[in-house]
Amino acid sequence: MSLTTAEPVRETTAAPPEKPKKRSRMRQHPWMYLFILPGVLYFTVFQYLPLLGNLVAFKDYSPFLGFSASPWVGFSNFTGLLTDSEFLTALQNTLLISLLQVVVAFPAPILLALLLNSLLSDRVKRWVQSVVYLPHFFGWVIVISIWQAVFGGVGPMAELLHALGFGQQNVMANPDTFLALVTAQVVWKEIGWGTIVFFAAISAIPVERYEAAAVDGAGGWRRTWHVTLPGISSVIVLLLILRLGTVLNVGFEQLLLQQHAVGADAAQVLDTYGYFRGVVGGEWGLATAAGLVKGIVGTALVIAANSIAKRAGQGGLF
Amino acid sequence: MKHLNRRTFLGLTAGVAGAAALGACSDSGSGKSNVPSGDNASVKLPDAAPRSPLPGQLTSTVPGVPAAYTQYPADPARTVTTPPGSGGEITTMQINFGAPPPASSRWQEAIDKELNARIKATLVSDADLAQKTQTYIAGGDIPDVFYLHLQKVPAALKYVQQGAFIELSKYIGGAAAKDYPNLAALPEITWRNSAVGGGLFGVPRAVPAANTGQPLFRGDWLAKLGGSAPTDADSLYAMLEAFSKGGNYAFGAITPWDQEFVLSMFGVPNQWRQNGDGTLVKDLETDEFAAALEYLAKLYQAGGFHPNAVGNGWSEAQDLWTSGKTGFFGGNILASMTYLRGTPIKGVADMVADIRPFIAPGRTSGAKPGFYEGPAGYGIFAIPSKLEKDEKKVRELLGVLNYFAAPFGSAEFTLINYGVLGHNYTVKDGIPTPSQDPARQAELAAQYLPSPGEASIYIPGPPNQSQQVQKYFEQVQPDLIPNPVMTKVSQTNISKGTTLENLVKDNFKQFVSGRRPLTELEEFRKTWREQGGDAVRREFQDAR
Repeated sequence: MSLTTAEPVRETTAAPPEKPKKRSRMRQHPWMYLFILPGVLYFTVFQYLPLLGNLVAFKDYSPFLGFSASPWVGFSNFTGLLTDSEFLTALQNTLLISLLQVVVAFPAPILLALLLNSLLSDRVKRWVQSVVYLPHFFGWVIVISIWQAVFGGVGPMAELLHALGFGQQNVMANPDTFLALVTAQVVWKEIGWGTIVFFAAISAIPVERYEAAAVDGAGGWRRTWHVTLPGISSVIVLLLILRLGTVLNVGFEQLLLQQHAVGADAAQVLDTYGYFRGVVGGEWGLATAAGLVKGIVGTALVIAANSIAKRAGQGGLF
Repeated sequence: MKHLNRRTFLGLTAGVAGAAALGACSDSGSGKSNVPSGDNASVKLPDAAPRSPLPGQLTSTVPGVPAAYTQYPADPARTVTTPPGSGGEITTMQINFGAPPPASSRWQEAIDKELNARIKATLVSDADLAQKTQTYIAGGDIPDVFYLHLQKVPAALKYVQQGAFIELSKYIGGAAAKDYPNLAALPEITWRNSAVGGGLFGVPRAVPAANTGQPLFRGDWLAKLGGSAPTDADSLYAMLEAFSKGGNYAFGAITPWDQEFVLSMFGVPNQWRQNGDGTLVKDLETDEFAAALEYLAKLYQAGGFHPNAVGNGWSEAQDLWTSGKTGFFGGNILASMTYLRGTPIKGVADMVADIRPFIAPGRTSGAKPGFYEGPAGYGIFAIPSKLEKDEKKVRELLGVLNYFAAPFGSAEFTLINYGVLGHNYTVKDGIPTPSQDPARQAELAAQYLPSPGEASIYIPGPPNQSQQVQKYFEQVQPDLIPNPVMTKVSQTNISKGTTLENLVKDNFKQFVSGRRPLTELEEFRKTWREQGGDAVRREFQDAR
């Protein structure tokens, strides 16, 4: 994605110019169409063809018998999902974690970008940016190990709590506070990386606007509210819609690595459910049905967010 | 810009739905002869052909206790005279518990030469076994020798039922086993429990029937407390609590496996209890289970578990054990005594005297303790049904498995388990001593095939060691509690077994650590029943 998104392309209400005939356009720009080819191939092979695999959701699929020999079972995998209390727990956990990620983890980089923007020294700014970027490049295994060392049962946090008279605490293994823990980990890991786009958008806002606002007597808060935020609102909407498309992917690795400590009731989400039922347990049909449900919910979210954005006067994606 | 957005968006949504593995559909069909259809009473086991005893061999008078060996044969005898292989490649999928082996090694070269074959082994770590079993079968190209562990991976039984593996009675059942004398010499109980639906679908890896519930413990810590072994649940509690002082803990992890001896001491059944009318009660449904949980939860509150115990697994618990922080570790006499005791422990001067298997007392003074009887096997080595038409290849593979099943003290056994003399091990005072070089030790990682090493008691060191360990087995063997559904099949257990087991493990941790109060035990039992527990019970009750 290019950073020119700071100036969004708005839907134009004027009548579109008459389009030349398709074939003549192709003849006019043959190279352009050739350049599209790898992308089309990629999406066909890796995105559209695998969609056919969703038929497994309607079969009692056995990889040994193969696709055609596995018996069709209609909607029984879906009714199986609805009667499975673990699936309902996983769905609930997925939605809760998604909600927290949109409400807490998504705005966090915006706040940090605004904060960084208010720093005067470029050197300090760059230094802070580098430090907060860093965790993005760690894999989840490393992130969890670091958190385990700091917040685990024998870490400094546990010792501090013990010294303050809170008894033996292990934040990393407490199912009651697990949602907060997961969100905090995501914020810590991704906040710096998330600021990049916002920061670029902020710096694309013409300085004259700030000057004009200042001349009109606007203070720091008012300038942020009336100049900076409107200046980056189109980027925020764009990223929010894109984020919603993947919001139900709530961190498979992150949750899988911590599930054994807090239990499935707290840490089972649709992705881990699909993994345990399908890849580990061999219930491929059921796992695929769960994946399909997730896909449908995700699509609905994106369409809803897009139309809300359009109604609110923003461009939307499609 | 707009186009770019749309494309990105389409990519995102399409990616959401990719859970299914469509590729590699191996429509191999099922040869009818490979589908288990009978019950295990009718299974045609290999005719038993025990070996004549070696010098220094002690055969126990208690049935089921493995033979002990007080010395290693100075001149190991050969049991396989013609190489079983035909010079080609043989692929295997095996389990591995340690470091992966190097790409080529002198051990592998020597084995290949003796077999006249090129073994291409894929090793799968213990933790990944369930998913790798599935993905190999989903991939369609099942290796020639495939490790199946139907207790750890109940879902794999489905593929056996669908005919993915060859039923081997024709080759090794009854008198046919004389072609493979080393396979015929494997313990009968191991063969019997490895059968599925009346058929033999693989060659088992033999282990003792008493294979869990006897962890290693710190004898030196007990000596400091006065040295008298606990005689009932209360004195055991006092000992566990006393172990947990000054930054030390009784246990490093919380799992039904780590604390099995507490469960069995309280009289919790081995998975299921069968009533007189044939109905089954699951272990977690018993009052004994509730009592054991209460006991462990109390110990947790008293600091008996490491602060990270809830999240710790086997390897973290092992780290705590070797750093001298925990008083108990592991779960079976032989593996503990041979492998784990060989690992130095911080603060332990005399490994022989201070590190011993812990044999739990009865719940009350004088009561009989209970120990869980296992299947006496740890997985089977199966041959995929795609080779069914190729009888020569099947015989070749069985010949290779026969080679690996060579009895204790034979030339083949020595090469498989100790490696190349002078490279992987040396002989000191008649004792084969493995090289201390980790790289040379790792060369032997692919040895986990049907070798009976784990079902033979040989503890290097003072000659009476093996005898002592045999005595531990003799102490435990009469109190073994059988699992009433050992060889029975439940379809729901095939699909839900892993889920149910994870549910039990999760809740065991939550109850012991006090995250979940014991008043919610009934709620947990209800969840277990609804998630499939009741269906599994019904099917096991109806199974022959």
